[in-house]
Amino acid sequence: MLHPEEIVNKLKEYIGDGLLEWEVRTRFDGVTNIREQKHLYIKLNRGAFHRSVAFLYKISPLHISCPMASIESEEAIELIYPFMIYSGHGDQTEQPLIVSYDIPKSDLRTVSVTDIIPGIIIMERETQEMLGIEVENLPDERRIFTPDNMEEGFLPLRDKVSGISEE
Amino acid sequence: MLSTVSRIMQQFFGRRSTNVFPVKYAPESVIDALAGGDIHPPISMPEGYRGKLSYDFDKCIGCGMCLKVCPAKALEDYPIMDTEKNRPSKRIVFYRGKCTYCEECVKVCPVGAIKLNPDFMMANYEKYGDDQIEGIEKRREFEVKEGQ
Amino acid sequence: MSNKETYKLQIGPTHPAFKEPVRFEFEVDGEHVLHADIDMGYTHRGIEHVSKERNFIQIIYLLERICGICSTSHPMAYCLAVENAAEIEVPARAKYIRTIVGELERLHSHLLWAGVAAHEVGFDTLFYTTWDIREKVMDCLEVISGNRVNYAMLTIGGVRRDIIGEVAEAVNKTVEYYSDLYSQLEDIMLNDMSLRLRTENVGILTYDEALKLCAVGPTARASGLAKDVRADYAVNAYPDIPWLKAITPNDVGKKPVGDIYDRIVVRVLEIKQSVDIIRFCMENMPGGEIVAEPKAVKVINQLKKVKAHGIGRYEGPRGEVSHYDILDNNECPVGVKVKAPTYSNIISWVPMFRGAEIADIPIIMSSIDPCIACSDRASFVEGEGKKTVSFGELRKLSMEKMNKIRRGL
Repeated sequence: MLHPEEIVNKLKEYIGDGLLEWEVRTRFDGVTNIREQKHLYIKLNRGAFHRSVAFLYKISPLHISCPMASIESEEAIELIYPFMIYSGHGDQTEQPLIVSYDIPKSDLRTVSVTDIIPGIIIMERETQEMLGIEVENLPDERRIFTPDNMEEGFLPLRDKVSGISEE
Repeated sequence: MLSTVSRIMQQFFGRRSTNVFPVKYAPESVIDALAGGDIHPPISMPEGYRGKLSYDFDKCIGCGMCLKVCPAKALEDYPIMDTEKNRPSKRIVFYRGKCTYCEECVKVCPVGAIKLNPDFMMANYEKYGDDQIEGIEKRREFEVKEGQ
Repeated sequence: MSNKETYKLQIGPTHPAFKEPVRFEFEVDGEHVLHADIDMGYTHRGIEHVSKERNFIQIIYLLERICGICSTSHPMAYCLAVENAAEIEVPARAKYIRTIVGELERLHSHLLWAGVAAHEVGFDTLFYTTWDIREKVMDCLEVISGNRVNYAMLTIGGVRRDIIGEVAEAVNKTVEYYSDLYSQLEDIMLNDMSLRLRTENVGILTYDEALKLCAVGPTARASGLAKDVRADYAVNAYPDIPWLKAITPNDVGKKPVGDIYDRIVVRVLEIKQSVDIIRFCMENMPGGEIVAEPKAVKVINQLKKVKAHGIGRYEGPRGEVSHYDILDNNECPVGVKVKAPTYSNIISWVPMFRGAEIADIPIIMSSIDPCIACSDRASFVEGEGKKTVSFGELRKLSMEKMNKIRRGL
């Protein structure tokens, strides 16, 4: 089992400049047996995302824990993927590996990782319909939660953009 | 297999596992003759049961903390004139149809003016009928309308 | 190439065999299902959007209503996420109480599921039995929290009610009741011939598929994938329990196949595990405070000053519940992302249905213990004429309604 810093070093070797920032945060829980849990936050370049996931999956199969969260700023949307690594090893050794990258608003596109983690498909479909980010190479492009007859351009989870006026 | 058969027998002749609705609370139009209330008497609720909300108008100081924590926005404030202290103050009404019975307002109230009672009989046809709004009589009496 | 034509069989959105609205489109050849397609979103309520307009305390009760069965799991994951972001230390006693309430919930959820599954295969005696014995744990939860469902036990930084005196006695009694009953329950659930015939080698999800499709909870564990947040990730009092581990069919000396029977095995063993965990917690519960900051308004003010991300994970009865919260110096979070266990398991239905018979559809569907309401979380559709309305519009409509009522006063 690799330490978060070792994972970062390996990843840095592989993608180089694609890795923009990283941080390890520690969390403790338990009463008589206090366990330490290291959370690794990685910020990537959009172009390096697919390669990095493929690389990390080779270290140990990734588990996607939560649908992608997003932070909207003036010119970009940050998409956050909460992955887990070393799931199912027991003994409180799972490591959260939170990968994020910016998508400029002028070019709302990203690439699907369903070829590596097939279980992520519903989350990518949700991201596509809720945030309006076009996910390339998605095997199934239909809507999942919103109705099929919903107006084009109405993006429920975006802060400011909405196809329907407030009147 | 045998255990299954004994289970079936139990289910036929055994005790019911759920509580039967107390006849006492049945609408009068349905069973006048049984309104005495001895058949299926009500089962006592455990201590701390979160049921019907009650509000003490006189204890309330109008701080508005309950409005801040209520998750369902089931509370509404209205202006009154506090005659004792001779200054404007606020009091609240509760829309029982919106209440989620989380007890957050009870915990936050600094003077204990709000309480949850063990009473659970709250069904009604009118969502905003008078008996579904706690403190409505006081509001009609004391509310200071605009321009007064 | 045969010239046999296949048919499309549509089941849902509402169907007597399903407990919640979800639509399936099966491609069938005679009695055999070739392919299944899933359509969801019929109970989408926009909880993630609504959360952005509520303060941190109000959200707890909103999230509690994502699902009636796992009504502790969602607030638990949310509280853990906020505590993770704001670095709030939870008192030791509160951790134990959280564990007890969570395990009682698991007990009732697994019994409820056993009843539903038994009903789906037409074994109504077992349905009656499990729901009958489930009443005891519901009563216990009512004594602890004051309500049978939606316990409202959790708050940020601890719990709201203590387990002492009569309440502790009620919990101990419940533990005894289930320990005595367990062998009988295990006998009926695992050895009954008719149940085995209906469930063995039906709805198979292999280990590789479970891993690739990121399955969680008993569904994954029945396939031999030992994923369990309680054992993998340090939450509450679980790290204290030395014997705690993820349960797989290996524990009864059976090689995991990933069929429905294995899912029954896992859940039945988890009933025993839950009882043992509750007993452990009752025996080892430390004293002290139950909440870090009892005043809700102070908690809100404290969280106003936080700018951080938090992740909260908890093993609900159905699997991993995961929340990702983004705090940004505001009274309300700027982002709340919710993942319910069924969300991860939906896609696992596809391999399970492949090759199944039409008569097995209801039991395969319920074998993952689905909670569609959990996975669908904004209603943008108005009932009449299927008009799409925006949130602002919806609020304006409800304000008008309220004003009408007020004028009537």
